[in-house]
Amino acid sequence: MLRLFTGMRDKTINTVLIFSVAVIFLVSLILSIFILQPSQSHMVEIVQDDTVLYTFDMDQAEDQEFTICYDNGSSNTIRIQNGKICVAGAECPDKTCVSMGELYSKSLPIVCLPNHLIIRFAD
Amino acid sequence: MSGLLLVWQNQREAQTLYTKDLYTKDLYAMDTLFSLRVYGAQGEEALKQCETRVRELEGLLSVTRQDSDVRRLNASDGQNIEGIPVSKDTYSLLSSAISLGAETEGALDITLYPVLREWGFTTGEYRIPEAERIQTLMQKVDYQSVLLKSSMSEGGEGAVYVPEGVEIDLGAVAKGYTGDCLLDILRDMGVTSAMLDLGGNVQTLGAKPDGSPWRIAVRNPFDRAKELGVLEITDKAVITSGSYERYFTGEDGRDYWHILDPADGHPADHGLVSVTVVGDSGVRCDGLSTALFVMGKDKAVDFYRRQQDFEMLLVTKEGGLQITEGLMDCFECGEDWDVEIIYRDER
Repeated sequence: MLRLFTGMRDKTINTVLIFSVAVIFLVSLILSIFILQPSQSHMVEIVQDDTVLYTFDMDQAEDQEFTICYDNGSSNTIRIQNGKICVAGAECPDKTCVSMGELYSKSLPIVCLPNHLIIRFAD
Repeated sequence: MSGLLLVWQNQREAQTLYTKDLYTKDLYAMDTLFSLRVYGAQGEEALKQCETRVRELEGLLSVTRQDSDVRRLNASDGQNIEGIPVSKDTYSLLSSAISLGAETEGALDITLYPVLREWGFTTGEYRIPEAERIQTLMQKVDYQSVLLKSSMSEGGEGAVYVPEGVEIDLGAVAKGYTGDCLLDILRDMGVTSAMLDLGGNVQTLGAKPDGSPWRIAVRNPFDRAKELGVLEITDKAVITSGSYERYFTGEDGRDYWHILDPADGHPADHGLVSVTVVGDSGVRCDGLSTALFVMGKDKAVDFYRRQQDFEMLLVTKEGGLQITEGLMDCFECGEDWDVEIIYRDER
C-alpha cells in the first residue's frame, strides 16, 4: 500500500516537473521572439542645420501635408500619406528633393541641398 | 532562461555602447551634404577636426570661391610660365587626377570645366549649347596641358601651370580626396570605427563597433528613392557616378546629364546609367567611377581586368546589372535584377 502511494507521488512529481519545464520552454520561446527580433524603427526626423524640426512615428502618423518656410522666401512642402513621407513640393532651383520620392531606406535620406533640409530615419 | 536573459542583457549592452559612443555631424560643403558618423570616445573632438579640414579643403579646391587655388589657377590665363604656387593638397590632388587621366586614356579630364559651364551644370541654368560653341571650347580641353612645374617644396607648396583658356575643375575627385584626408585624421586620433557619407560617396573606417561590416545601400538609378542593393564592406570606399544625379530634359525631350565625354563634350552615352567603384582609396574610386562611366561597359570591363585594386558594379540603360567577382559575396541584390558576374580572368 505504502509502495503504491510512493509510486503515485513520484508520478505526480514527474508530471509537475514536465509541466514546469514545458511552461519555462514556452515562456522562453515567446520572450525570445520578442527580445531577439531585430528592431524595426520607423521614427523619421526632419532636420535643418543640426536642428530637429519634426519627428514622426510613421506607424502612427496621420496623413497630412505641411509647408516649412524659410527666411529667404524658399520652402519645402512635406507630405505624409499611408505611412510614407516625401517632399511634395519645393521652392528651390533643382527640386531634386521632390524627385527623390518617398523615404525608403535608412541609408538613403531625402536631402534638399539649397534649403539644408534632411528627412531620414532616426538612429 | 538565465541564458536567454544573459543574451538579452548582452544585446542591450551592445546596443547601448553602439549608440552611446556614436557622434554624428552634418556639414554642407562642396555643394553637397557630408554626413559623418564616428564611434568612440574621441568622436566629438575628431568631428571638430574633420569639419576644420573639410572647410580648409573646400577653400582650396572650390572652382568658384575667390582665392581658392583652383580659382587662381583658372584666372592665371597662362601668364606665369613658371607656374602658380599652390598648396600641398591642391598639388597632390592635381597629381592624382592627371595620373588617373593618363591611366584611363583621357576618360577622366579635369579641363572640361568650360564645357560643363556651357551646358549650365555649374549654375543650374541648363541649356543645350550650339555644336560650334562646344567644338570651340573642346579645343582647350586636354588634361595633359596642365603641368606640375615643380616638386613639393619644404614649405608644402608646389607650382602648377595652366595654359591660356584652359580651366580646371577637381569636382570629380575632390570628395574622394577629402574622404581620404578625413580618414587619416580619424586614424591618427585612434578612431577605429567610422562611416563618412560625402554626398553619396561612402568611405568607411574599420567595421561597425560590434565587428560586423557596414551595410551600404547602392541607389537604384531608375528609382532614386530605392536601393539597387546593399554592399557589406569593411574599411573600403564605395563611390557611385550616375546619369541620374544631375540632369535636365532639353526642349527636344531628351535627357542630358552632367558627366561629359572628354572626346566630344556631350553627356557620356555609352550604355551605362550608373557605375559604383569599391576600393581602398577614395580619390581613386571617385575618379574611376567617372572615368568608367565615360568608357562604357566593354572598355570598363577591359580596364577592370588590367587592374587589381578595385571592384565595380555597373548598371546599363537596359536595366542590366553587372558586378565584378570580388563583390559576389558581399552584395545583396534588392530586387529582381538580371545580374551578370564579371570575372577578372576572361572566361
